[in-house]
Amino acid sequence: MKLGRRDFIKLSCATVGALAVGSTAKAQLFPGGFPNPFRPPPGKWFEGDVTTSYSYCEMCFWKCGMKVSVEGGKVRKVDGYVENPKSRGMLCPRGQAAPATTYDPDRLKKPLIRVEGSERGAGQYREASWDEAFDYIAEKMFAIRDEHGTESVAFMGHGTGDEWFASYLPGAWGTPNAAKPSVSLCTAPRETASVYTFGRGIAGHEQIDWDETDYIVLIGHHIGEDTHNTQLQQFAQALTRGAELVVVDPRFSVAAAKAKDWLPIKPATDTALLLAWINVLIEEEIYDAEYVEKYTLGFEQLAEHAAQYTPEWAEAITEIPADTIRRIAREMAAHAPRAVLPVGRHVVWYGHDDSHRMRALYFVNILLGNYGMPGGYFLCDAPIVDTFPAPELPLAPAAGGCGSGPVEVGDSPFRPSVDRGKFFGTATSVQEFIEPMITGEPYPVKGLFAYGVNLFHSIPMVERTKEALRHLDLYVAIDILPMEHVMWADVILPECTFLERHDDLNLVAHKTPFIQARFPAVEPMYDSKPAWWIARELGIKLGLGEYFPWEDIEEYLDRRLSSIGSSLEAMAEQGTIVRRGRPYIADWERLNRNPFDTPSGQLEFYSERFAEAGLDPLPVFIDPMEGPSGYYRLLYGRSPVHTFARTHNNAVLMEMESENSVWLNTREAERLGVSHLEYVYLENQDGVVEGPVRANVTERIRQDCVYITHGYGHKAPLMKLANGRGASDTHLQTRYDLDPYSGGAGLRNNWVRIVPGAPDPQHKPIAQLVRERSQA
Amino acid sequence: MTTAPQTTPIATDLAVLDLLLQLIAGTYRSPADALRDDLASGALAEACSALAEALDLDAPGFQAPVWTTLQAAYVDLFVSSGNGVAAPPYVGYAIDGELMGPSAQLLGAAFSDHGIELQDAWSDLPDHVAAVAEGGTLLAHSARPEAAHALLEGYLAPWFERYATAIEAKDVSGFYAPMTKFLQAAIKEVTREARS
Repeated sequence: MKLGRRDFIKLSCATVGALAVGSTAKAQLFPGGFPNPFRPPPGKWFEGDVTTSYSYCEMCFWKCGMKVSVEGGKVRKVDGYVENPKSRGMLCPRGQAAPATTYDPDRLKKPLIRVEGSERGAGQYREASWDEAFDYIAEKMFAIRDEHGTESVAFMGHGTGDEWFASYLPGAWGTPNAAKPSVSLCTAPRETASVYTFGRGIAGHEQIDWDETDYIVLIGHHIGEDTHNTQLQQFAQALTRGAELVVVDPRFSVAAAKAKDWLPIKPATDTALLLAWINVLIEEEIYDAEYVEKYTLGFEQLAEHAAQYTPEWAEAITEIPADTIRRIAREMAAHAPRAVLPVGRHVVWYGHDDSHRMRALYFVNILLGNYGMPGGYFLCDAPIVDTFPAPELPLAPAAGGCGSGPVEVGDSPFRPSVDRGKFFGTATSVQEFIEPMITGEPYPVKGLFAYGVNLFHSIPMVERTKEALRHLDLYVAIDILPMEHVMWADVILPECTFLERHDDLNLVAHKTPFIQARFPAVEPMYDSKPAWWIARELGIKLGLGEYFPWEDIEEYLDRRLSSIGSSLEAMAEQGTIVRRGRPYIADWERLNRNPFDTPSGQLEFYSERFAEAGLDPLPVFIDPMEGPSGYYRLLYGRSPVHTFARTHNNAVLMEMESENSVWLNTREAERLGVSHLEYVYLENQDGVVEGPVRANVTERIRQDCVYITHGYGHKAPLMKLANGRGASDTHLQTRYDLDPYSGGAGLRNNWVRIVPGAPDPQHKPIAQLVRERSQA
Repeated sequence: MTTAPQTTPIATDLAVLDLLLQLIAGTYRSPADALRDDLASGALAEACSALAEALDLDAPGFQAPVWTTLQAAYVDLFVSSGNGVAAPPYVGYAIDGELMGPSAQLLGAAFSDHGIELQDAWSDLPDHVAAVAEGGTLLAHSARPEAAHALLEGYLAPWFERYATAIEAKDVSGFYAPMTKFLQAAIKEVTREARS
């Protein structure tokens, strides 16, 4: 065995540049030679090499503070810590499973550019350097700007880094078309209603004073299924302490199982129930008259308006007996102000009705005298930390956000966003960006950035979204995993996971406001980068460097922290800085300050602003959209071990819950001949079919609706654990109704029929898939 | 501590071992100008022929592929694919079914032990098959053929065993499939001769 021509051949391509001979002497761990991986040395050679760092979780958006433990250069464990108000020393399953996402072998690894001539969605890519990818993007953006204007590039973002991609970079570039699904596909109605009622937003941490309340009424609020760590902790502690619970829900939810009363309301009629409660509280004069007199405006109009909404009227609509409506109202009043109707997070249910429902919910709370009182809603503001000194952005960001109120758009040299005029609120509405990509009206949208937004699992009318993507001149996806929509992009930019990066400070409006920081526990794997870096480098390519005057994130964070007398070094030692809050009205009054930032300075029952805009100034009940005969209204909710459609390739979480099921009432199942756990298809009113999905035949749901958990039904072969499991609610949402107040998209206006006889897909156990994943 | 290759007699011609490792490194690195040049100049084909001759194997019969086709095939096979990556290019993953698992940890420690360090500019995992092969060439050139051979047998061979079939089945470039088949055969031959 000899080379015939010469002893050594040198190939240029063999110089990879990965490894080199070092200059330092090494300790001889393996004095015998090179260790055989199949017969490794006993024990852990790196034992004792453990470091910890602070972070906050990104597995859902409760953002619990966590400590990350690294051993041998790999994240081995994450834990909550007691000093952090969002985790209080505990994490949920999703947080605990965070390392499995970092070490997910299906992760995006390098910048990719779609092969020229290949179709969007065909998934043909070539690798690119970051520099080449940025050049490619910049060239396309400049071409769009020159032909259509800067506004014709739209940005969508979800996650901590969305501040860079849905707010800062769009503001620097000059487009008002920047939006977050966490607004119009989630919280928009509650924020619009809150701002125009309380003069304050709800904020990312719903300000329920769980520790002090004695009586809780949940309306379509799935605590325990829609799991937010400390919210669930405090809810459970309240019940343990003896607080009474009433649950209003068409479904006997996990929370309903803990309730003294379950009111199985007819879907889409919640506003009628709330209006009837307002009626009872006022008619029976059991509201908190002193509180109302002191802090509210428009009570007389409300009383006159609510007189029509009797419990008997509501019974005919809601199918909840009038006597029950009266009884619950009286119980609430008896416990006031320590009785509370908590605000939920995902409140875009029926569109036209959503802001009315949220306003009515707030009104009941106000009548109970609980807003800003112990046991009701506490008041909170985010800690103030200066921004990094930089020139003012050409355009104020208007994406809003989960927990932020509507953004007022003042005079601007830029065209208004493409959704302007469709609704009253001023935060942009993500689903309203899609149609202009197809029609070019009111003006063309030709470029799109999607940061952490799963376009096909969050925005309704998926086929319309795909059609819109085909019309774009540029589509950039920034993500961690190769979700379906990612593989449609012209350029794919891989973001590193939160365990590998710094992010901006998290300023939390809370009963005890606090600041938490995220430190990288390990270096980013592959050629992935953090959002702040991607935004800055792209900004520089776009000639926007003046808006990114910091050299790196450490400088950025340290400068911000210096404004409160802290530093990045200090935060590395403590992770969280907790402030004293002013949770109650009395705390404000001691300082001679008014917490209600409404035009009147009062809590407003009657909104002049709505009236001036031609909208109902008081909440009304509007008949819901109806569906075809033989179909069930499609309701949906969350899984406690998954977040949106983000976590369905996480081996740890999929081991806990690997597919969803459709809840179907027992009598309906009998009528259809469907047995428990049988696989069925779901077909919606427009002929879209999802499944196979298991039937969960149960008494725990009304006969006129079905229910599935969100986030399943991925159609991404490259996500080897998630692909093809269960049914997607988003794909079945082929119509929605726009809330004229907030721009929210009411998604529960879709109906499905059950198609029995679907084949058993013979899903492999997750553990087996994990083993097979490494075996091609 | 058990280090089986330590007791294995090394009968392999160092230059052959080095060339084999170079070809592995050159084939599975991200396709760049150097590979394009070696393909265009015939250097890669010449190196394959030389190795085939030395090992009494058939040289791989690939035509110089269209460059963009090769780039897309590389991404599809090894990076991100609409149909699922056929061959994650990490030797530790092939052995353990886990990224940065015990084998990758052990490999990193062993390289360090031999004074071989990861370069700052390298942006992929340290146990990428191309990086490991490059490390092998450094070992070979540092007069540590026994270590290079142990690397080939202990870490690179399992990767080929795990993924060669999938690469051959899913490659559309006409390059990776024949190269993988050839390199796997070469590894077997070199390993066999080393043990003989």
